[in-house]
Amino acid sequence: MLKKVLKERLGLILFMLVVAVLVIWGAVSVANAQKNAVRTEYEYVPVEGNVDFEDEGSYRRAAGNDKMELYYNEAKGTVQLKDLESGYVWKSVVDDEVYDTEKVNKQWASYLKSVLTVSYNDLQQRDAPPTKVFSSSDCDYLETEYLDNGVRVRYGFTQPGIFLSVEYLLEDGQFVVRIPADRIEEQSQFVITTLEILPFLGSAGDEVDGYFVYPDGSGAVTDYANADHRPASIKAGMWRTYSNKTLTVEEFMNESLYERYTATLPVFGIKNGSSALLAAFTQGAENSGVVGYPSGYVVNLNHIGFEIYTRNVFNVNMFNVSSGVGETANGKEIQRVDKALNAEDREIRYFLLNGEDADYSGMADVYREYLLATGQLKGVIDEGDAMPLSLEVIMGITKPQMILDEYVKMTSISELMAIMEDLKERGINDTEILLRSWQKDGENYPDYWPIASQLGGRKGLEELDEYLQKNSGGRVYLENNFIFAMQKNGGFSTTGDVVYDGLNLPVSASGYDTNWYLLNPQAAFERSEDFLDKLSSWSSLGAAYQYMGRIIYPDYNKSAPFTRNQTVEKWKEIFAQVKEQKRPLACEGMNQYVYESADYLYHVRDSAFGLSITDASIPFVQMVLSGLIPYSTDPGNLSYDMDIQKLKWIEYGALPNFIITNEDAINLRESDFDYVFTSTYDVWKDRITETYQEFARNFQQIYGRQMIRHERLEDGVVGITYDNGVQVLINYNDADREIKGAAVPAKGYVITEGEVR
Amino acid sequence: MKKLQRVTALLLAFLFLVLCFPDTAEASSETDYVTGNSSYRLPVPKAYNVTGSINNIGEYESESPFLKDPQDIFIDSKDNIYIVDTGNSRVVRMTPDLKTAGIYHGPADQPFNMPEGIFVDEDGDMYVADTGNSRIVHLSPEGELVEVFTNPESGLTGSAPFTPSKLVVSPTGYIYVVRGENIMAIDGNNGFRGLYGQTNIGYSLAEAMTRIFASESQRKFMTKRLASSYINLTLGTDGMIYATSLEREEGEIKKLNSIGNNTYRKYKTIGNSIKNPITEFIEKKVLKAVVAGSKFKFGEYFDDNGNYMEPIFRDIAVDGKGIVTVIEELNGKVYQYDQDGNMLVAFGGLGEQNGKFARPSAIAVNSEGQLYIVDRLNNNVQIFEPTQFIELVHQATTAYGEGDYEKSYELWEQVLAIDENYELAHAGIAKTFYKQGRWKESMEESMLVGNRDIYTQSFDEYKYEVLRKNFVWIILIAAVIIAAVCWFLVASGRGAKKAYWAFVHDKSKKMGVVSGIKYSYNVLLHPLDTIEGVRYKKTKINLKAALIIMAAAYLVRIAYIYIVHYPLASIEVADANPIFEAVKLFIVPLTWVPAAFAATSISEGESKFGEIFFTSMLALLPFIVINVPLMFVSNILSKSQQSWYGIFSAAAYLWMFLILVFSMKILNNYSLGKTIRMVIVTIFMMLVIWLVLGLFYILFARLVQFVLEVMKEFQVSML
Repeated sequence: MLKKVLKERLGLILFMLVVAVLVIWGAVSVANAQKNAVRTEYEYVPVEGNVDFEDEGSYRRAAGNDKMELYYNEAKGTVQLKDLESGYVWKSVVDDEVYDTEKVNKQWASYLKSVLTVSYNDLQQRDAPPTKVFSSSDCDYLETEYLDNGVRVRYGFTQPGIFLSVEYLLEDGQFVVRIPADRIEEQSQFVITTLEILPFLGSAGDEVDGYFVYPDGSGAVTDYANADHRPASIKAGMWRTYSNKTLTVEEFMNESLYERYTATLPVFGIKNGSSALLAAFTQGAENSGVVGYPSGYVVNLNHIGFEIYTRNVFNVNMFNVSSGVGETANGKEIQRVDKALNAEDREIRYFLLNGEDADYSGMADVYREYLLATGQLKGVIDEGDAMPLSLEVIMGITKPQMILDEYVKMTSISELMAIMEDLKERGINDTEILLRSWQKDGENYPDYWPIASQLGGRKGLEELDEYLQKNSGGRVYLENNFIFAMQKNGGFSTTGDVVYDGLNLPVSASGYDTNWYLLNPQAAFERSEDFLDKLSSWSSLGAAYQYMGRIIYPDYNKSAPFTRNQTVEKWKEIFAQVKEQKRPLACEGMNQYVYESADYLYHVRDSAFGLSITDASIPFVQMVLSGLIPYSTDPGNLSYDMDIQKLKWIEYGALPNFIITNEDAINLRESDFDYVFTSTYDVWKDRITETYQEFARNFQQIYGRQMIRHERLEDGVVGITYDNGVQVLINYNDADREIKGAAVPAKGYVITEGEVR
Repeated sequence: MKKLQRVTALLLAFLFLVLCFPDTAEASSETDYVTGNSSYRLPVPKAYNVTGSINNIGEYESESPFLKDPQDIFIDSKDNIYIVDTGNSRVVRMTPDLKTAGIYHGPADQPFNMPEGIFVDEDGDMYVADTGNSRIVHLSPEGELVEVFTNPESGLTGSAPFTPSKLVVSPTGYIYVVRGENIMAIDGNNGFRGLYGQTNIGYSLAEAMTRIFASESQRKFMTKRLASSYINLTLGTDGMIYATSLEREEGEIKKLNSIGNNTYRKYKTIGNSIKNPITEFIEKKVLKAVVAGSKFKFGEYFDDNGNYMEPIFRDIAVDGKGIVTVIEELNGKVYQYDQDGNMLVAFGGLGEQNGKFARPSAIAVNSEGQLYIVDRLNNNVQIFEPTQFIELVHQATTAYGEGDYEKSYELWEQVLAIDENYELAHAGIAKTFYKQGRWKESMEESMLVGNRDIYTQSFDEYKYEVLRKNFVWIILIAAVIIAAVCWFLVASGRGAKKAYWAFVHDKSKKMGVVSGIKYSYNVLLHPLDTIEGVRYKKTKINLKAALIIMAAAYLVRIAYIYIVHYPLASIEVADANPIFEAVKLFIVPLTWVPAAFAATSISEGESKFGEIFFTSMLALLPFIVINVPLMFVSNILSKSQQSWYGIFSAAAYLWMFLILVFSMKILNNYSLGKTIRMVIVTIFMMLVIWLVLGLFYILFARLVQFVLEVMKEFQVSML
């Protein structure tokens, strides 16, 4: 009987089962969503404000030391900082002395006079755009508490019901601003998404001789004097600390997307006449960014400041998903804010500079000293270390064929050792060698082990390890990627090991023949741990981490979330494990969090991104790093002109770097390494030797020394100075130039002080 | 159940056909590049650096310092710069050091109204296309009005309004102005001097069909198809007019001689030389957006996100050496070609960075080779300076064009010292080797970068050289091989005949697998008998033999791809996809079977499904028999003998088709006339099957997508 029913109705039963499962699943999802939905259970009654907007108030001294004094205006909640050495006053808001505020509209007038702006969203209308309010016109509740070394101000915006405290203090000879997390109060459904703190501190008009500096690429400058050369419509620049804001695979894979608006250091600088300041985000920087507006953006004022992102905001592509709140927005991308606040304490330090030091070189100096003093930067170059040559070696690639893919060996381990021997004979003993694409079948994310047997396999690694132990000077790093994962290669779970976006879907992108994912920090950590475990018997092989010094990201996975700063902590744990094994550590990129453990940084950027507001690229990050951690830029043989690349290396204090293969580069055509259009060692060995010898001859004297000055002398001419007095003038032009009494040849350089050989 | 399996298999084949092509390209590379064969981007060293920009023309007689929607730029022989500032209805003249030296609004009584183009002659006289006023204004170097040109009287130009936008003035004083699909010449007296260089209208099958079937009155309402329009033009130092147009395939960039013929890059084949109508149809029509066609195209048909687009070359610049640079408006790319139309480099793109564009609108080149590129959305001009790399490339290609092979060889060597993989350098060296009679080296060099043309030339020479040297031996070996092949044919033919007789006469025995294959082989020499035999003993045939033939045909196809001589290959091994190859090979015979069965069973047919399947697989035998020797012989053929090769290739297909037709006639006992009718019906049925499968696929894919989306909705946390 049952059998008969089953036989006749099996299809229907199965169908009903599927429907039932879907219905139950749907009901649970809806229930979940309802449980999660935000409701204000009570009617919010705004607190009564206590601010008299008519009262102009006056500045009173709130704290002081022998270098600076802090003034506070109790009626307005604004501050001023007086540099006692020069007498220059750093104003936190724009007054009529600086700019005629009558000229702008009402909203901009309040903006100019604000020390703080708050952008808030309505949790019940989460897809709606944020509202921005200004401390000067919308903050109707102020409470001041005087501390020993400054003031604590409670700013209250009673209408949205948002209250927060800002501490203005003088500490360690610096001006310190803190925003404690436990003093942020949101009393209604309106929640803070973005804060701007002191957006107009040190703002200046075009007539001031000065510039502002921001961490775009290696560092960039916008000169006030260049206002005339900018286009009619000026775009502001935004640089988010360590990695761009959007969480998509494309964002991280596409160089021009992630380099745009990404800051390697959470700092900016302002120079006004002979006074300058450097602002550094010293706590909670992962959720912050720098925003710079050159003159011409609504007002003729140059201003730059920090933005603080207090909530995760994620882009939701409404193409396939109907919005749960409000109307359906198909095909659009909307922004949605997270319910939870990023409860992090935040601290910003302002360093004042004067006279000679009041320029970006001085800023880099104080920042370097600060990082060294706080242990965030550790020098690894010892006195007397020889300058190494840096090489990237492509080991093997896979080329698709009709039936079985073809493995093409580019450099085996024994060939690598032969190259190292050859270099030794050519007098190059010290090397930083990065092995790329050494894994089985080549570089296939996320595979990190084993090594391709065609290259020599485990035995090859063993021999390499022995070779390195016998021959000091050469350091070899095995490069791995623990960030990207391709579905076709497998070896990871597309649900458990990947990053989720705000909609609780895995972040992925579809490529030519596979889907791409991002590994979550925990998965990355575990894989790295396993990799280090595999390496444990070969103590002298280094580990190199692709992308890890460039990218951080949050993971919105509901069961195991990671905030951006937790990710940074995880990356640091990975680095600490490498250091525990006393293994050399190399990192791609130069984000600040790698400075405390890396032995070598590669692919560091040697220019700014190239926005229209940028007037010059400067080696700001390099000045912080120089002489402490060796680093290299992109390979010189991929440059269009080796002479220019060489000058760039000198200006940026980078090691000479080349990408090589033992086999002909023509094999790399139409492979993942097709951008390596030249790499054959036999073709390049003489030029590599020449370049290295030139560097060793002339720049060994500054290896391990700090670059303390970088000057833009003329169009295409720069001068750099090291702390032992060595000075180099570099001329990028096609014609000879006469600078400071020295003749600098076209596309050449002269060493004006120090030993010249 | 079996039927279901078959349908599923077919469906899967269809799915693969669609799935084996990319929907999204890999993240775009940020380097400069050239596109090689099959539109693959090959990175090259940086070719141009941005060294300056004009955002602001400075203070000049209380004029606005900013440009507004600029649409043309001209650089005269003294490197003075003229910018047509369309939005401000003015022309800005700047000195070579970028100082504003003059701003012109045209005649005082009737100033410019949205001018879009300018040409400046040797004396500094300006000819401005005053588009909004439908006229061309000739100004003296000081900006005084000299004369005005309006629409010349002519019966040829019709009633279309005259909106001059881009123009040049020849040394003889004629004005050449872009007018739709023509360039119109006007003389100094405002007289009409002819239409020049009409673009190709091309042939449209769809239109031809509608014309045949449409009634008189319907035809009246059909819009006339117009030839593609010209976009822009410039005058080369060689006196030729270089123009861009919307014409596709070779016509995007033209170099027009004095009688209006295009002499630039007249079509050169790149690969895909065997014109097989089926694959050509698939590549050209069905997969147009995916597979690069065999014809040379300027620019790229993909944007940086991998989406199909048709390029619009908004402006063109030609330097003194004849190097052509064009700007593409949609994807913001700059493409540079040498004197023969080979791509030298592509760079630029859309973006906010220096060196990228929002919407490039005009380009000019100065005497130092710097490119000035106008952006009408960013309202600025960026100045690009050539790097050492691209300058070497320019010198090398120019030296070759001048016949100085030694010098060009040296220069190409220098290029290779910077970029070991630069295709054009290898090709240039291969060409030089060829001119020097070093065939073998030339072959190796051109093989490296996949240049079939030079390879073919060198291979032919090399072949004759080898042939001359070893004539006797080669003749002997060839004789032996021919004898062996003849013996094999005779012996196998005899074996097949034996198997045929054995099968036909042994009443009870079912066909064995081996004897079945032997039997099938008989179809080559005695097709009618063999098919008759199948009909006669329909219950005894062994379908395993047919399946083995099918497998053999597939193996031959795969082997063919590996073995066929490189310049004749229609597809490269790395690009081949085994599943797609199977679909290509079997789609016709496999759909023939159900179509023929369906068609004949309702039309007094006697054939059974199995029989039709068996004979259809027999039709694959000629493919095997012709392609096996052909793939080996092709290794001594080159592209110049491709017609020979094509004949054999076509013979295989014709033979296959004939076997199918015979099988239809014999299996169903049809008359010839009826057979022809039924073949047509069957072909029609095949089309229907493809259509239905296609529809089914689309609906099925929609359903799958719908289910996935519902699941995604559930998965999404609504927070």
